[in-house]
Amino acid sequence: MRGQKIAGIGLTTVAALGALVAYAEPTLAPSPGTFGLPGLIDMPTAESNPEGIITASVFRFPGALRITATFQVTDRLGGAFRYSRVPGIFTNGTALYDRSFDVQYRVLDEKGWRPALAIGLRDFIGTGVYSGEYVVASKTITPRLRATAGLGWGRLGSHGDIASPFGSRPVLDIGEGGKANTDQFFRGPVSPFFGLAWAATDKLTLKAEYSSDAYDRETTAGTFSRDSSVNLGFEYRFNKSASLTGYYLYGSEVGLQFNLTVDPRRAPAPSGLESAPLPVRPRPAPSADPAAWATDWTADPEVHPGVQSALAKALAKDGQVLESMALSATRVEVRIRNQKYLSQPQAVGRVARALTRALPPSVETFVITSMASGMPTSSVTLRRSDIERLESEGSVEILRTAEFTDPLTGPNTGLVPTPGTYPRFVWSLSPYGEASVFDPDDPVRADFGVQLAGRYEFAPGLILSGSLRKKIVGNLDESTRVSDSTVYHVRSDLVEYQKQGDPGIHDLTLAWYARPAPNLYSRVSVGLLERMYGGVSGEVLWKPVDGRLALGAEVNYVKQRDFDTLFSFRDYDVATGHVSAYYDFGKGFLGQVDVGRYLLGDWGATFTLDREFANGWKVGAYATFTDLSEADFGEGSFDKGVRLTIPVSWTTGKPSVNKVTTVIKPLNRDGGARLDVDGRLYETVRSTHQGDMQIQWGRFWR
Amino acid sequence: MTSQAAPAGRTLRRAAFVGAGLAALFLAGCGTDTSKTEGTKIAVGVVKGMTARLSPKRSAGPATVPDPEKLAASAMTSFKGPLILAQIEKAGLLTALGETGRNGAVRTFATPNEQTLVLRNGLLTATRGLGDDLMSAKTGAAEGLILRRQTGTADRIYRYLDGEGIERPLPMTCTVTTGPAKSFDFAGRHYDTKQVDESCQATSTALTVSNSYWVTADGTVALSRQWIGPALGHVTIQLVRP
Repeated sequence: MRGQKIAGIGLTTVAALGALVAYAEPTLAPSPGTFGLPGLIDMPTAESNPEGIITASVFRFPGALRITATFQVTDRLGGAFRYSRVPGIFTNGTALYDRSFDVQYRVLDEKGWRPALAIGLRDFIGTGVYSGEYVVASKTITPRLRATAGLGWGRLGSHGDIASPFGSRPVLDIGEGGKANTDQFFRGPVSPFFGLAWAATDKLTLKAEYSSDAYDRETTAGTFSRDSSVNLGFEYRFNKSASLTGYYLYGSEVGLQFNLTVDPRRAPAPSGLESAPLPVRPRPAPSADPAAWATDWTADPEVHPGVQSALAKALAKDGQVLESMALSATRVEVRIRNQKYLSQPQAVGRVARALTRALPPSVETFVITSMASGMPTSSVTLRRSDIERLESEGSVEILRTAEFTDPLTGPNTGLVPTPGTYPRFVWSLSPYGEASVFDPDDPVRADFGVQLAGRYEFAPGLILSGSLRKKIVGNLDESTRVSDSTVYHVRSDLVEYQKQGDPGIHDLTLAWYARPAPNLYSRVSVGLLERMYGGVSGEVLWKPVDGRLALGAEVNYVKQRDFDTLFSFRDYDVATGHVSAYYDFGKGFLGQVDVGRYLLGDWGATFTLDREFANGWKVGAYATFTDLSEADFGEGSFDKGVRLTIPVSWTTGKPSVNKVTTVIKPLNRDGGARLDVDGRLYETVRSTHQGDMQIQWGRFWR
Repeated sequence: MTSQAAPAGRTLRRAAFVGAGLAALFLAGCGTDTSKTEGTKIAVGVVKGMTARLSPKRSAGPATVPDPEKLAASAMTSFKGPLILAQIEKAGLLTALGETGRNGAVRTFATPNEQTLVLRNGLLTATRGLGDDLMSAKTGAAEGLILRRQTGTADRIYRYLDGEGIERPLPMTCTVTTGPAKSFDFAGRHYDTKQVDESCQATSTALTVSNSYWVTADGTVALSRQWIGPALGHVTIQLVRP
């Protein structure tokens, strides 16, 4: 379990310094098209955004409104999620509101005479209004001029087709939508498209293209007339994150687009606006001061409480709670709760330095145990002499000496709780907001109000918590939308909760977290577990402190709460639960599979893949497939969504353990719905385990 | 294609964040649970920042440049240990720092705001609390050349956290040259120094930086202008009390 084997966490990729030292921008940066990913105008290019880049764009012209978010998953793979409005093409000439997903993979890089080559799928799951496939090549002619040419199928083969090389395109069987349209891919007529992009200045890019999209349905509906295949556009970049694009489209219309780019690796604030850590205080050499190294202090009953009290005060000043301590002549174990630093190594590093200032010289072994929800989750063992020796070295040096263990395998004797730590009560009164987007009647509805929350910890791991909400202003209750779900409404009656649950008890639970055995974690929660369900929830997790793999099981028996969100229940109860496997693939990719029974009693599995950055940013996507039929599920066919987590410290530069998480679900339906219980174990313990701590170890000496 | 879609339960946290902007106008979060009130505090800060930017600038009067001698004198009366004065060029503020830690040749000096500069024999090796800090620096053979006021070439490594928080080394090759002698008095002490310039070229990028030291014959760096890093630029450090 020594650090060596994983110490090569890519510490010395000197190339990465390019980003740190000088942000050299190519003269012709990828520019977004009307579909969000890098492109010409309506046509794609073979360009990719830099890995990790997130963009958002809003495009509007008489024929469409497209709101697109993109994420460059790897250097070569980019993805997009879109919400669009196409006027006039739905039943009775109403607008079609649609969600769609795109992917693009860059197969070849530009090299010498060879152009970059990419292959892409537009709107490849869903109802297919924008469905099209393409192969595209882009070549830099001069540093400021790039040419693109490609072949498109589907929508991109609807104008000026030259052949149907892979047979005719079957009619799309929409069904309930939401499935990959695999039998259509690259079928039917194929059309060429091409265009140019020219960086007139560093801020202004001009673009022209020949479009192979006929806009058949739009022109039939009469929303605009397609008089030409040539589109013209410009992009003006205000700064590194915002740009405006304007177009003259199809010889008849003007379009506008606003684009935002976010790089998770470029924080808006400098990182580390915080109090400096206490410096290490080295011990005198034993030869210089033999008396200081004596161990007779162990016989003095005042020493342990005195040291513990002083240390608790010093740590409290630094946002940490010393929950308990065991002290012997040569070894100390401290159990700390980190309430301040997103990166656990930073908390551990600060504790280590505080220990050098508080303990008698004979104490050589420091065991710093991280606590999460009252559970000891990992111990980092460090030699005091290494801390003294390596304070001014690269963080990898101290990592090499650090040993990660499960606290339960340690001696666990002589731990003295810090007086006054339990019971413990915290509360807050804060504003809250809740929004509903994607509602065709009124795309954005929102409520704002106040939330009173409290948390009472009786003992380590035994926690009573709850929150109460009162709306102050909002229009969510004006929604007239009624769930059209033909199965029992386990989730789709959200509007009713929003209308009737004011004021409401959002949640009120008693939870007990424990460590039944080494590598094992457990949780039992009872009460009003979430806004729509109350009952009992039990979970166990197996996760070795140094392991990439974790396995878990969760069983819940819950009853649906009344719409008034108080203490009464509706006549629906269900036993639901999952077995889960979690795996850390490395390079920031984390996978999760949950197999089990969902709230409707449907059986199935949820697959989740997250890309997590060392600074806490996380972008993920999930999909749930259950035995509920597509017809019963309704629109969308199965549950899927994307989620985004942004650490607060990234936005402010100041230390904080808090993160803001958003789940974007195209649809909120009843199939494949999971209980939303708070404090699930994997996320509770993971940040203190070896894998996460090694990735964030650079902050040990912060 | 009609449907309702709504945020999942988890979304409420996000929503609380979004809503905070409006809420800041009528309620600032309060309580002892910082995980719940922080969103509001940030939003209030943002709103205040925006209003400050929009409102006409109040005349701040002439900026008061503190007299280094006076600052040193007052620091020497209030702090008994070793002292330096430092000014980060980009921030502009001149501050006194007192020694708060000593580990071998490495000394930590802290501002009253708990930001620190860490020096090894007068050469800057780390900063903390300034934001985008220098994590550590391996001064290597350059240190010996500078302190002995000799010319020569030596390698150095600066270390920083990148945008993800991963520590990255910035290796440099440095050329040390000597300049004119300079004698001056500061804070009641007299220094006979020689200027030593260090010009460093990053081995992997086009970045070049320069450091200057005014070193006494016994190898004390009395005054220096040293590069902290790409974000913070240079700091000038004046020795007050060794």
